[in-house]
Amino acid sequence: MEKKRGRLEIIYDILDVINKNQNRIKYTPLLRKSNLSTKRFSGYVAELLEKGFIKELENKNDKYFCLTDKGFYYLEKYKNITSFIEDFGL
Amino acid sequence: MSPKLFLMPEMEMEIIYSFILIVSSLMIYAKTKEIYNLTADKGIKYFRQAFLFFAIAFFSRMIILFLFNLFGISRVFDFSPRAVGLISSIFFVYISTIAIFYLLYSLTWKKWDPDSKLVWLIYLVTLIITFIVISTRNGFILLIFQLGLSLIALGISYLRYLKSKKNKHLRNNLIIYALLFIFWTVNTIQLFIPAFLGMFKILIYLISIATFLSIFYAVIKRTG
Repeated sequence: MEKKRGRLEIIYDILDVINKNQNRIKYTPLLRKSNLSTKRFSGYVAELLEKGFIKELENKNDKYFCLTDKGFYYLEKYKNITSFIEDFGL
Repeated sequence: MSPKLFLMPEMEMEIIYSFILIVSSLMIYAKTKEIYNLTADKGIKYFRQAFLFFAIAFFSRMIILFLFNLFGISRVFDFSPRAVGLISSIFFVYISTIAIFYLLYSLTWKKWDPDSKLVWLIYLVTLIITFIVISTRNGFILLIFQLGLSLIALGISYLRYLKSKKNKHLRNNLIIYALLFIFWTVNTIQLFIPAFLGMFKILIYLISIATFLSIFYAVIKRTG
């Protein structure tokens, strides 16, 4: 059985999907690739926008999500963060 | 009783010892700020708060020991005027117990309902314990209570280690927490039962410093 993803892992996965998509992705493909229910996905996106990990861009009536510097920094630091949590059993 | 304005050699050792532990606790708190801001993870939050309270508790412990030296007394309840001893001990018992509670909570927070008011319950239980210790003037109650909390935390770490099929990280984690909880408790007790450490004082101080520095090293290794 696959292990249930934690909050930090889900955030990493969402940011990673955006990053691997040339830092530009629409709402629906991001929802599909994130493997979350619509309700949970909306919650995470709202949190990421509010905390400044991602931003919304408009281009010819299309809306895209892209990473901010903080979002890239989270991706860069993610391994250290999870190691820290694992090391101290938090 | 005339105040002594010079420091006894033992007091100098206490100040250096306390200073190392205060600085390492504050550095752990400061070094984890960035990853906490990035993740808002509750485990990291409680871990940081535990070390902030360790720093405050060690600072107050240092002040109390300094007052011991100044007034030539050896027990926190022998202060004159009594209010000085009473206020110092209430503050120290409360802060040191909260620190241990927070460290224990950082290990177990996922097991609790996020909306539960457990943190408030922790403050309440700590207030009750503080009241009992101060009103009975019995340091053994504090010793038993803090050792009890330490044993619960050690039990959790040990079960987690066994469940993980003896993961190396968790083994190190178990050893560090075992040392931290035991030596913290022993340090706390020193104020209430001065003869408790006896001839092992320097050895225990050295192991305490090694424990805090090893935690600090593990923190900077992961946080940069």
